Amino acid sequence: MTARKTLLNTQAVHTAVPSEYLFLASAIAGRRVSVHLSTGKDVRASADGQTIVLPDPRLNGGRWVWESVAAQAALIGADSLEAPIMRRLVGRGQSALRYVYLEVVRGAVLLADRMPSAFLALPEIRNAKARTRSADESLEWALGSRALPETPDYFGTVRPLGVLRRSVSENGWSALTKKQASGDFAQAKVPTLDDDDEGEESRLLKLLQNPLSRKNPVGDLLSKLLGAGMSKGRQQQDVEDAGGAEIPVGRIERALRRGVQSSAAAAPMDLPALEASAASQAVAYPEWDVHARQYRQNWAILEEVEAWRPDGARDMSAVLVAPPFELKRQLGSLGLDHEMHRRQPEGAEFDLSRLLECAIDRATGHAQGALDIYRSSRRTRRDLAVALALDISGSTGEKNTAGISVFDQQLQVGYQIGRTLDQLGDTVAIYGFHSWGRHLVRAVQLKTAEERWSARVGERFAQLEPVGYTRTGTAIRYGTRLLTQSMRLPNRLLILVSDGIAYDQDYESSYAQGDARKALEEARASGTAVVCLCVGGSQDAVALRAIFGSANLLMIDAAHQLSVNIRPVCRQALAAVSQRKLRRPAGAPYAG
Amino acid sequence: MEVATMDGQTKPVRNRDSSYLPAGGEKQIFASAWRQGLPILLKGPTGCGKTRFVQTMAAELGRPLYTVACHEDLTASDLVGRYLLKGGETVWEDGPMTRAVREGAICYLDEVVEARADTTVVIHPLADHRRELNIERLGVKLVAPPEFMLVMSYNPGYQSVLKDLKPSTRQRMVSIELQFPSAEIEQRILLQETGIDADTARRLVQLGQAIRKLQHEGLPEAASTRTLISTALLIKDGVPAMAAAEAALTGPLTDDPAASRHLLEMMKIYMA
Repeated sequence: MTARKTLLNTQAVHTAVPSEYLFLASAIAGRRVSVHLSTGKDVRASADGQTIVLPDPRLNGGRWVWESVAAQAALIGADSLEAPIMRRLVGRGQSALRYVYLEVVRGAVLLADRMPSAFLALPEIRNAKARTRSADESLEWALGSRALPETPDYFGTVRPLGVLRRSVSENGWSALTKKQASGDFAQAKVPTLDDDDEGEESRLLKLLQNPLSRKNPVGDLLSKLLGAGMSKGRQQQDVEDAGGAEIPVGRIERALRRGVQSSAAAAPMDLPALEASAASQAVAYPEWDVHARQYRQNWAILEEVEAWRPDGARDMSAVLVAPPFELKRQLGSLGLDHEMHRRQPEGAEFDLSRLLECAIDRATGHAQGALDIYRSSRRTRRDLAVALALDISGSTGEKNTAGISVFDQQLQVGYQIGRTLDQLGDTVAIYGFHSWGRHLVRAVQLKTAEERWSARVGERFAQLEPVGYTRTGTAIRYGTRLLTQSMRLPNRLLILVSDGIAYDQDYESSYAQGDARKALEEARASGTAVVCLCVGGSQDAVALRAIFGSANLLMIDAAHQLSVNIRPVCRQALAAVSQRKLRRPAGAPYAG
Repeated sequence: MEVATMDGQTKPVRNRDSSYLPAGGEKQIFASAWRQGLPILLKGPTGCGKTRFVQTMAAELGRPLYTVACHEDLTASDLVGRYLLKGGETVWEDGPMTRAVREGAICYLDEVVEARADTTVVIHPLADHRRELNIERLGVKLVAPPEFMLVMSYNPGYQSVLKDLKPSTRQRMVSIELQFPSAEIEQRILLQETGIDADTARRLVQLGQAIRKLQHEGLPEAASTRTLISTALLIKDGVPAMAAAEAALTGPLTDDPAASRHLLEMMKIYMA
């Protein structure tokens, strides 16, 4: 990444690197958005709803950098990237460009109050006629044939599959991995699927409608990607629209590269690395290589993102239920510290200000005397900081026999614990984590430590979906860093809610376990207690015990069993670190 | 207004007492609550105009205003008054609340959550239908005249859970929630308060509105209308726009080096 920054600085007209545009992008988009630099051959910027990918500055002379960021952020801010619309633009490159033109112009007008004046003054924006008033209207225009001005390069484009890959549901994910595991994937003969497929007649759509290709696991995956949009009526309509081109055969390409990456071990096909480098406010964490017995410095790149799913918020009324009172009783006694109470009838020392008041009252004849003149120290102060790390990887989408997914149970448990501790007055941070290889580990912010509890927290929970993989060690290191560097309270507890499957690209079995164990050691050495909570699902109990030790592991079958067991586990974990706060293993690095 | 400077010369000082621009029906509710003898709870983020609103309303209703900035050591006797020792004698001195009740003024408790819990003993009987102020030390009970009004401000999201307003206090109040003004009104406020040119005002407002959308680490508070006004005043006084925005807008917002850098980049694009 350093090399890339240098490159930008020497070649770009605007010398800033993408991370400099983080705030610009987020402010216009109206939610947290990161800015990446494409390492592929894209010449136009694009966005997937959470990330804006800028073209390599070498490909366009480094021009139009912030303008592209503003245009793409306007698409996000104007809700132009909604899944139903993206489904209709798959494989229709020209229509997608027309759509971008209409939506950037619409977004600029809609968001004019917070767009930079310099952007609104660009001739393409200033002279543009506002033709449409909603994304749907723009879509109709884009699919139609009315003449529109050329879409300027700096507007960028939309990549429908890039947006939709986030819609791979839990079922889609597990179907894919099962097929991979059983070797069902044909090694060589999978079709090329690419947003850059320029054919208006959309070979891609033909592929999806082909009953033969529907049997193909890739076809299955894609129909899941494209979801309910592929209804019968629409298929027919599309067949009529489309020409009769044949399907070329190749490999799954960029469409998957942007999202659904599989671990090399499980996937028989060759999946390239993500085509963008995370440059925006990402932090590199070390990882422990158990085989070489040393740290890999700056290994896993984690970035904080905001919760967002292209299909909109889920109905969470059955999941985010208020915590039972019993849970409050159980957690009430955790992490208490001494605090001085004034005006006590008994205590170890005098309350001087109270004494003075009494003296004045006596002198002025208002009162004869008082008893509450002592100060005493009692264990009542809440000094507990808690970070809740929720595993939101694709594997948690598995459903149990009752048809409830591990994912939902985990969210419920996380929500209830967080809510309870917050009510008790503890400082609580909640984040979800998932990853697609070591370059793309994401911490989805659900509640920050400074933020007060509000309905916003529940709304963010409703924006989560189980996708990606699990890099447990990085999630633990991130939580430890939050607790020790931002929250800074004497009692620190990290609660990891996970299905126990630590698995990511180049992160599996003994390597993953070794790294997770090391991350735990580091946490404890810095005085942070760590508890792992497993709800339902088919976890590998032996592996989990090997990582966390049976004392700090709580395995329950359903969320309602939480209250019964949580106190002893958290207590033990906190007690264990309070005795060894100052020790740390020799040579252990601390990230950040 | 003129003040004397060190070298004995006088120098003009801008006296910014222009009035609050309403965004909705808040003025009507305030005036109506005053007529009906109901206390008011003002909610809203720092720098959105709570104090300016109360000042404007006090002036419009023709009542004197007593403002108390609450802090964690503020006790009931700080509000009501206390005996002071003066040359061996004890002399009673009224606190701001007592003075406001005696004069039929508006008493404004700014950031009321910060005050110590024992102040509720004084506030509660004054805030409900009784409208009485108990002065225990004097053994008197003052009944507030119809012109008296109690106003409190409170910044939700700023205080911790432990320092929240009690429901028993909250329910005695009529609440008015103030937000940062819309872009259009905010622009008018800048023009009215500072006399800056319309284009600069528009850019500052766009920047301010944009910053308010950010929810990043290192940005605990948003850019308030107050900071936009300060920036505009500096620009009006001849400070270059970029330097003024850095000094008065982004500077006070954060100490976090990464967040400052990002803000600065953003500001360059908006102010260029």
